[in-house]
Amino acid sequence: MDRIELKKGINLYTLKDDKFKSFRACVLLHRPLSREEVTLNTLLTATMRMQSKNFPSAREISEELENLYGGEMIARASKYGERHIIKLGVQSVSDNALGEKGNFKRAMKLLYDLVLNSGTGEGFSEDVVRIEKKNIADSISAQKNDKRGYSVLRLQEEMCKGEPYGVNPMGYIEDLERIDTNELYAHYKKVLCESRIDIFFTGNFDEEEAKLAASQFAENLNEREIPPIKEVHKEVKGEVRSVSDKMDVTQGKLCMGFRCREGLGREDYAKTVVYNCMFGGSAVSKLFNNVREKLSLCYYVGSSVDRLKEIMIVRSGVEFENFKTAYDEIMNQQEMMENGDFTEEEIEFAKKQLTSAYEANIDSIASMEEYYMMQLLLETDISIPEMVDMVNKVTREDIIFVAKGMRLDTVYYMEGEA
Amino acid sequence: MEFTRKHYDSLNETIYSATHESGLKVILIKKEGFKKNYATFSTKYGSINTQFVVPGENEVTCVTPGIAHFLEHKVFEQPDGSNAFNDFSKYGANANAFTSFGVTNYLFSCTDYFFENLEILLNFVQTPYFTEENVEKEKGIIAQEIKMYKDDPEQTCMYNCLEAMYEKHPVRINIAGDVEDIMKTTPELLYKCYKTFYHPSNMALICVGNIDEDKLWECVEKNIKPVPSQEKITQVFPTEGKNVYKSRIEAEFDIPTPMFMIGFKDNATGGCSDEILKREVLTTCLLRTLFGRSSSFYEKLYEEGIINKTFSAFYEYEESCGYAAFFGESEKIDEVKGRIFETVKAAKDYGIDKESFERAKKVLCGQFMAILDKVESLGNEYMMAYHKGVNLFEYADVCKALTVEDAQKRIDELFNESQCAVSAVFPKKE
Repeated sequence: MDRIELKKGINLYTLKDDKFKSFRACVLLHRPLSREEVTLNTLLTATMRMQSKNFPSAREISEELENLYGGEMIARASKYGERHIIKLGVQSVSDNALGEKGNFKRAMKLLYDLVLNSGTGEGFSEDVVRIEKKNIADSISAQKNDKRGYSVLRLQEEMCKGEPYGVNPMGYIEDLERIDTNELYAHYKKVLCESRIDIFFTGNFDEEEAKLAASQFAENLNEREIPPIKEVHKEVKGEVRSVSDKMDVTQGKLCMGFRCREGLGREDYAKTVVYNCMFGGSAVSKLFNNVREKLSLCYYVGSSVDRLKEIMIVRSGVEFENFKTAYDEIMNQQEMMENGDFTEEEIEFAKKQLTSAYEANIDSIASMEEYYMMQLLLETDISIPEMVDMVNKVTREDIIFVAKGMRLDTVYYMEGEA
Repeated sequence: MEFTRKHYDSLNETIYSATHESGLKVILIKKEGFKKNYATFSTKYGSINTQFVVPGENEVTCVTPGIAHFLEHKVFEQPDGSNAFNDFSKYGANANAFTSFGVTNYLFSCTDYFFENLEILLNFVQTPYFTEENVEKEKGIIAQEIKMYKDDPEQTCMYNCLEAMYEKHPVRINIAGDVEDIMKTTPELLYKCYKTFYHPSNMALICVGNIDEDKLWECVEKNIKPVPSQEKITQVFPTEGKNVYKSRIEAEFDIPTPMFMIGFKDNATGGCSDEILKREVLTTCLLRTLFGRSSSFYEKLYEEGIINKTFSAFYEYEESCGYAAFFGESEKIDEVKGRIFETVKAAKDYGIDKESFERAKKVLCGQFMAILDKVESLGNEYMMAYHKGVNLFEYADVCKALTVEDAQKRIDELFNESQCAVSAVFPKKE
């Protein structure tokens, strides 16, 4: 990955590979995740994709995307650890694949306008903001529809009450109502002036054209000195907390939140990745093979680690009457990991699995962008081949070391209403 | 070498294809520079293939729609009690399977050890092992899976729409089947369906990646077990009326905003592969022109708050049935339906806007190009098209050749009141 500092606080990253037929250009605005700002960021992102000075309506933006051969617009505010990152971008077919010049430039023109000339040029239109408010309110309410996702969200909320991590990345309906159009526009200006900005180009594009486009962005932005955002690390104190909701479901959900020893998401991450792959992060894992396959206790069960926040979450779909059995069995598997009760074969499988998964990143422009963006967030610069190498050097002792660093904090049950 | 090589100049893509003596179709889409390899071993057998004549028999065999999916679950289980998933993990592959209305697909992706993984894939799919005990055990797992779908308002909304459109066609039933039917599954039934549909002549092996064609052929020769040849399987599909079965089905769920799927039953089905492909591309293009993000339909309804971003319009085609559908969330579902008809009427009376139609064509071409960058999607799309008798690589050319006149004719065929069914899911009343 090549990096060019365009201005203080504004960097350009290029990941060029001509085997692709597409390119992707994204502007990343880094914000802290907080209750005060989260709803503003979500609403801002939604508003930015609807209107800009030269493309004054959603319809004109859509038409332009169609002219870009069905170009995909990327506009989202996502949670990464305790950061809320606003990503605005365009993905489209490269000039090389089309056999004609101009598509890339045209895409850049659109992206520039969406990011730097959002709204009417002087503000946001009341109508657009009103509609987006309603849409976001609907999406927040609709989070409940996806029971798998909602159970994880609820666990995070309960487990990390009072920490930024417990904030709903979609925002809050009651906060939404209070935001007025002027406040939102002021927030837009603030985000443009006071955020760390990273610009990513991935795929098949002309590097000179990309540099030119990026410097045009930077020209119209100020220098900035932004202290990096850091997640708050917390250790488990006291008893395991247990929380439950009653909802209209016929199948229960059981989610368990563990806190990791400090470092497991950072310098020890290669070890943690291997541990997680063996414990619950893959189809070769103990949870999948024992809890789901052998014991038929769950329809789905898996674990994942948030390396920025250093938290592990186990999620599963379980019959109500099996809650206790499933819980015991998940804890039993975790204990086996701590006791080193796993085979050399299991380690080997996990390593091969991970090697394949990491290497495959280079075949997708979106995955490449995601991988290297994560490196930026962690303030490291480990390339994909280096990561593969680190994974393959992990030992049995390393895995036990990780397992012993997992502490159960909170358990969440979604129960039926009847 | 047994392969026929074809290079598509305009796409700069190369395809190798051959038919193995067992009848198995083997296809390689070569992707130089790519690290990931993908293989799909699929059979033209999905939930809708419930009535068929086993080659050599005279009577029609009738099974329930969930059997294809049940089989998919069980095929992974090996005679030594192991699960094929674990074999893949030895070589770092990600394996999976899915059952759709018309296809059952076993697949893996990996970066290294492609041929080791391919051997595993070919072998486990060719090694059925069903016992009273392992079939019994699976019933619980599948019942859980079906329950999960039934908890999902989107799935319910979709299936209710299919149920309303079709009176008899098995597409109206959940791919995983009904719990009651699933409980009746026996090893004998599974073997019967397996022997019929998992014959190599009913299957395709499609690989995508930077894979050596000679080695691939060698691997196929070595691992495809010799079987007596089999005649074509005769499929029987119930005769459907032209009109929808029911015009409306409603349900209630614990959701905040009502959800809808409005379906139009397509009476144009079947035909040769060119016709099928053209119909699919044309209808998708037409829907995008009239109801896409840049249409005045979308703009107005979105601004009036009648629809939101969840709105989509799409066309689905399965063997012997097809439909156009509108999916989304709305407080005013009947208004959405009314406006769809208004839009259709305006297009009939005043014609389709040529510029919008040309833009829609550009989009479809671009979306097709984008698939070429994604090893797995490319494999899957190619496979799904293949089993419908369609060559995916002709997509862009077919798309470019579409005319507004074609689209104009299609409107009359598709959008009639008698062909329209509404599925609505409302929030539960307290």
